Amino acid sequence: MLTNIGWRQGAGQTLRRAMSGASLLAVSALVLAMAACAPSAQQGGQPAGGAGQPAAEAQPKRGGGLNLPLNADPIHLDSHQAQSFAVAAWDGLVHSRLLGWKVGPDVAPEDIILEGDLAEKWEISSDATTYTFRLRKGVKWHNIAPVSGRELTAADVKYTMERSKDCKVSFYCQFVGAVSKIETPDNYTVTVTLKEPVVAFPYFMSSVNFPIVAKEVAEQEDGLKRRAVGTGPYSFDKWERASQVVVKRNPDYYDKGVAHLDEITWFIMPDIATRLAAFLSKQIDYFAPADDKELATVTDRIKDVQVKEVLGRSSSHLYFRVDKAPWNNLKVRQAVNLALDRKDYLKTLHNDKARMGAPIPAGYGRWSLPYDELTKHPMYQYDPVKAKQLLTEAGYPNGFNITMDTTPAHGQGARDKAEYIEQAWKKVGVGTKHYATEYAKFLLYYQTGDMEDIMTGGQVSFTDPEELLLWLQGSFKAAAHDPGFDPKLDELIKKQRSTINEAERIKIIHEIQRHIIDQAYYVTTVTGVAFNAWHSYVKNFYPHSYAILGWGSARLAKVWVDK
Amino acid sequence: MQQYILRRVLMLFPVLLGVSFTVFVLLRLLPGDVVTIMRGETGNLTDEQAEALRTELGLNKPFILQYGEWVWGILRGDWGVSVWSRRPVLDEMLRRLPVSAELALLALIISLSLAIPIGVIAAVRQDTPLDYLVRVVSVFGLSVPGFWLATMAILFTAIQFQWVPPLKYTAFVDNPWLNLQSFLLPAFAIGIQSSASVMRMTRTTLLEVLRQDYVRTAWAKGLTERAVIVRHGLKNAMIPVVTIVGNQVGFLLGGSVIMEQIFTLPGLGRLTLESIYQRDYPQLQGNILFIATVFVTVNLIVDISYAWLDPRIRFR
Repeated sequence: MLTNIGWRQGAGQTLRRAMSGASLLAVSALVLAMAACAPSAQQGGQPAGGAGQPAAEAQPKRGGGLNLPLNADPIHLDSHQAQSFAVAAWDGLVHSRLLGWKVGPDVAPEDIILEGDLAEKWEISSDATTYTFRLRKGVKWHNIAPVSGRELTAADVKYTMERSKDCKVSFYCQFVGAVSKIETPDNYTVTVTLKEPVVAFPYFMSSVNFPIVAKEVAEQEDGLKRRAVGTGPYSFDKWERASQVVVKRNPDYYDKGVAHLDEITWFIMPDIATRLAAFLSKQIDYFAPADDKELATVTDRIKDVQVKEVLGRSSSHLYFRVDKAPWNNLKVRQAVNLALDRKDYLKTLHNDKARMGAPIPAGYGRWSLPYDELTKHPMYQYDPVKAKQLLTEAGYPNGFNITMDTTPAHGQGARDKAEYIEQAWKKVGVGTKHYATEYAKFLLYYQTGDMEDIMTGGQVSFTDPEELLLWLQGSFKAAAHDPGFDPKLDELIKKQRSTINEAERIKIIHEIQRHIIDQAYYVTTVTGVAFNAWHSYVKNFYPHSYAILGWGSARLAKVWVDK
Repeated sequence: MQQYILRRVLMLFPVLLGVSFTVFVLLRLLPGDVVTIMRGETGNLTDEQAEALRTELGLNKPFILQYGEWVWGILRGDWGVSVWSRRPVLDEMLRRLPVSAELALLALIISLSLAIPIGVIAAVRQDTPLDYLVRVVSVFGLSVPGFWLATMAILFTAIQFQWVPPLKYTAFVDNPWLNLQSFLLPAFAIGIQSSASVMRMTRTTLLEVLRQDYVRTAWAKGLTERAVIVRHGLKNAMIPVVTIVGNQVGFLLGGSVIMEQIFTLPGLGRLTLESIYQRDYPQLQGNILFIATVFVTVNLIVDISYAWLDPRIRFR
């Protein structure tokens, strides 16, 4: 459950983002100034991976290490309790999950194709309410007390699931809330029965927020908050606050064909200019440029750098208080949608390096409404005349004034967005007062949906659209998604839950999006593009829309270096 | 003199009490408390659970009782426990302090090594091209934001020399060379910036002193330029300079947040910033109280040093 654009990147981003704006200016100025005199300058370097994924490297080399940046310090290490990317970034290598994802040159960055991890096989009953997971035999916990290398059994999976269901210790409870019964007929079989069909349940079992944990560790005081003991390809070595997180190869990992590196270190580097400098000097091996200009800085300086642009799984929206006036009026919601020139918005704020946002973002690939259809949808057309007409019909011929909450924690981008929209809506008579709301208060709005009129915000990144839809009903109080608010939406969401045939389910998910857009429940603005850059000696790395930097064992576990 | 020092030391307590109370009040005036942030992190704490957590953390107690308990704890040497890390506040602070202290010390050394000689030269060579250059440079130093200077420094070395300071902090005792590499750029960035005001103050006060009668007398006695400038001029010009330097020490210790962020140094400033974001009241209160204590102590030392610098000054 992770952000790409990211509201969950935390309050700690306030200063960092503020500084990164200045840093970007500084970078541009410095690069221009040095372009002529730098000894290693090369002109017109083409990113090797720019046109697509590099071919899979066949001969992995064992040994060496990988240095990666981590934007913030983890608050604690318990993935069940933390929604933080600062934990998820590495925890997927330490803890295994029941299911993983296929990784390789043949998998599109927007696709998640499930494969076995701790579970070798899984079966779904015809009514999509019973899921049986056949566990791999001989999987050992890391050789660290108190588990000390004992074998993982079905009891561990059952314990984890029960812990996850408990909302006191796990935010993931909303996603496994449908679980009614967990049975372990033997040490290697787990049968989960759901109260109602949830066909996306196997995807939940691959989420980085559903790591299988050991009872002995979890029930120690602050056990999982202070330590990470799992069954993954790498074992947790140390976490030095404000400095680094280190994992080392697990020699007892069941799959001897992965975990090629001796160790992986995440350096906690809050400042983007520092990350850029460290990447240019090869102290870190991966870097996520903030935008295309920064990407160009990297490709100009490093001739053989590998780059990849990946669509995000987070659309940036403006959320209305649809439960109160004026937002409970469909015409008002439609009017403010039509008052936004999305093409100009993309060009002005994103240099055309982003997409118009769909309710299910483009990073979800086939689940997102086809882009052609989206861009041709009447609600996505700029029509200020019709917007004014709709406002008049809604009883607001002279417009009205509203407040819009953003938070400095979302950085300059959120402020630019708010200012752009303020100007756009002013043209149709909607006066917007923009508040840079303190992050903690902004979080409360997320949790209660109790903002005055409108708030900005990205979405959290998930494995499957169902997780996103549940999140909109749970952690994030988007009033339009509250059960009972819109019976048709409720019905569609329920229907997709029980539709096993994927093609059919995709149709329903598309229908949900059409309905949300027709009802103009929020103003969807953009889905961002995540820029990735890594040095050419890093092999077998495939960024993904959900797990950009290798969240989850499947992605980083197969990486090796050839220096 | 001893009485003066004793009186000043006793005066520290009401000052620190005032600081502690102000910090305590201001933190609680911030919108959203630590439980709000925890709800954001954990995603789905219910209202009941949030209230239970507030009770557990003592946030529901009367304000004055919370304050009293905290102050009483400090007086007993118990600075409390971090709400997030569950570690003792004092331990965490002492773990981070050496980093900030070393940064402050190195920055101060660089600052003074640059500022005083250049300030003296500018004063002695008043209205020469050298003096104009020094004035321009010092205005630049005063105007340029520290984070910009730091960003420039780190990008410059990365692009030109493919070098950046080590990403992992190493203690001086473990590896002095690696340790100094970590501090080189941030200490220069801070040092250059803080040298600007010291440089200007040195120049201005020295110019004033050099026009005094006793300096003219020193020249008339036939003393060497060095003796006149250093022994008679510089020492007497140092009082305002020492005041500025004293203030800077306090700021350097607690205020080098941005440098610690940019250069990934796990210091006290960064810990304070994280505590603000996380509303970690015990940690934040402890940090600020500690920095305030250092600040007023340094100021006390500065005041006392006046007597050494200028024997005409006697304390009452």
